[in-house]
Amino acid sequence: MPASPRDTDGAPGRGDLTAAPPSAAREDVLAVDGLHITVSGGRTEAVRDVSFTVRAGESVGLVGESGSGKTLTCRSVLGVLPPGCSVSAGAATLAGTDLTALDRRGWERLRGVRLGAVFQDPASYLNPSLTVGRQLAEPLRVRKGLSRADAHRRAVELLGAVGLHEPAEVYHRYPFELSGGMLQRVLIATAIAGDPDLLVADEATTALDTVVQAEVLDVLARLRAERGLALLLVSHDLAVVAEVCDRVLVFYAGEIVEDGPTEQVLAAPAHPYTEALLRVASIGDWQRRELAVIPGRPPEAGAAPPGCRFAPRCAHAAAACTATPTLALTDAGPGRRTRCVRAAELDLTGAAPQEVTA
Amino acid sequence: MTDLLRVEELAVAFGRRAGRGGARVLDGVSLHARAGEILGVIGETGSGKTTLARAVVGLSPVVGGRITVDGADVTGLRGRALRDFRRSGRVQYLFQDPLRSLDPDLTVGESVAEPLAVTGTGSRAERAARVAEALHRVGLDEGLADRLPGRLSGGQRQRVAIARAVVTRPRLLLADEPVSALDASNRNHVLRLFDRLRHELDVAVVVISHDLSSLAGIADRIAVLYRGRLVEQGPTADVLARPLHPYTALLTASAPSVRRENAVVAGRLRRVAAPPPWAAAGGCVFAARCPFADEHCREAPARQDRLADGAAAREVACHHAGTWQRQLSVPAPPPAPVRTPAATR
Repeated sequence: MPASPRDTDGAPGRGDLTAAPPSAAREDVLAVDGLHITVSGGRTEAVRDVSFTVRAGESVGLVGESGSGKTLTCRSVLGVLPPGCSVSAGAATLAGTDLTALDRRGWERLRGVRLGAVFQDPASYLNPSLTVGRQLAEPLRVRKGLSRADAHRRAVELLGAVGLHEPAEVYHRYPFELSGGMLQRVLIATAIAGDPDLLVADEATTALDTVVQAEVLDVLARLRAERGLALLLVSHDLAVVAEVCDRVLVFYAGEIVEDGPTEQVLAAPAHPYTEALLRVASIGDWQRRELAVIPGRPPEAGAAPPGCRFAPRCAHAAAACTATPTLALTDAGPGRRTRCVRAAELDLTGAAPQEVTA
Repeated sequence: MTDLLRVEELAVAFGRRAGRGGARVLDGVSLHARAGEILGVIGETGSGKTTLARAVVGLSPVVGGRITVDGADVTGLRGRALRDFRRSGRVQYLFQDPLRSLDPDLTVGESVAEPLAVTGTGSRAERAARVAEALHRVGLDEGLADRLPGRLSGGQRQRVAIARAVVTRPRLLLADEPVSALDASNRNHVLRLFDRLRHELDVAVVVISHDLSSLAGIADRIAVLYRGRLVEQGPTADVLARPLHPYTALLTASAPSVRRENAVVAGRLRRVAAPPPWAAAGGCVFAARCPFADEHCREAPARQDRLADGAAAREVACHHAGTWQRQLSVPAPPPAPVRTPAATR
């Protein structure tokens, strides 16, 4: 069990990855307000009351187990919800454009231009029979109206910008000739080709090896610093979010249960689920340790237990937790929100140094 | 204590390359695991982790070296001998994806009983008792025995796969990426299960993973593979906290963490310069990506034995082991110049 006092003064140094510190008065690139998403043709509600904003240049991470609603939330922002899923209530606004009212044409004007996206399996998003350069240059010609030569030049620049060696060579390669990490860089180059306001990365580094994952995360951090790109990163791995994001949103069973600046959330979580996630996450301490687990299982998709949805698995659960049908996300200090009725009375343990048992 | 698994100077080559002696998928790999011990094998995609485990069960074309399991030489077993070895149930192989490795049409109970039928163990009643015992061991409710795998969660499926592996009471368990498909909490559940089983069954466990943090929790010793070569091995905490090989150091520095302090930034361990021109032709396998590679590295480094805390053995294959760390204490070099895109054709 963690025994050391909470690390409040020296918040963990996040290295050079959280590039631009969030300044107070920047406009919202993305505003999601009271979003509800239903699945299986509207019978079950998979995402409930999700509200958050992403400011210009800010990097926000959505973290949670599979089925927690983080991916559905991000897919709705991209307008690519799977069949049978729909937004049943709420709004999402991308720098003034109402996303929920867009038709197919409207989405096409937005995606690839103001909205870029990278997903988990890069190879499946590229045409295997065309060179990666051609696939990168084509949207530049279509969307930006560049000439053939200009599109080529710009594509090579972009391939260099995502850290590929000898970009002019890579331009002429076919997808099968490149490794997974290189393909993911090509897709990032495609996603930023239109100078988007927001880049959405959905489990973009999950399938990559540790070393390559770190390189790709570095590329994302550098692009943010250089281009003021806002980033919405979805991951099941709290450690990945911790490495790149200014702010973290913790999802559980379709709801946001905690929202706050990454360093504060890690040092002093305001929701017991976040505390539990921190306990099971990779801590970067290679001494032998007790492997923590979260007891129980998340509720079945669509099930909406009364009150706090985490209560059955929570070590701090009390009668008040399930007394009301739904819990609201309440303020927990400046810039922080939590969906826990006992937040004020609990003293939750953050990512403080662990007791070494070796 | 004797080694249950002993791999000596193992070399594996596939297909046409087998004859040429050049590009071997595994070369000169030596490691061992004792009963009740968990050995972690880590490396990136294509480093030969899976090939190594498959070689032990006779599924990789071994072109050199020797593998012994429980004292018996199993290198290059063929035909009836290989079948008898597999059917003995002394070695069990646990696959990565429990959804795909479990027969979707067999119930949990039938799946777990199948290896017993293959090994021809006991009567029907004895088998049923063994199945119940195996399910109990992995912490699954007996009521699940009638379910189909499709009705189980990912963590439960992996437990079924483990129950199926331990039902024959193996001496050696090879687990290939057993937790990579699971979320953090379920991952730790399964890892804890391995930790318990190796004590209860006194089984040697080889866990293959590309994820450092899952191995850090349970492995007693860790072996680091890079491009088919064993670059470092030793006690887990020691290897990860004080890596002797630059690749191990890059791995630990690259692992994402919710807490980062006094750690070396991964960028300092990546090679910025182009690979040395001779790297493709031979020499140290890591030279092309190593920031510390120099002329010495043209020759493949021999294995060096090092003593660690408590005199537990450590091995490393690097010409600059123990000296490259000094290069990190000098100030960081200026950032690489911005690459100007080459002229278009």
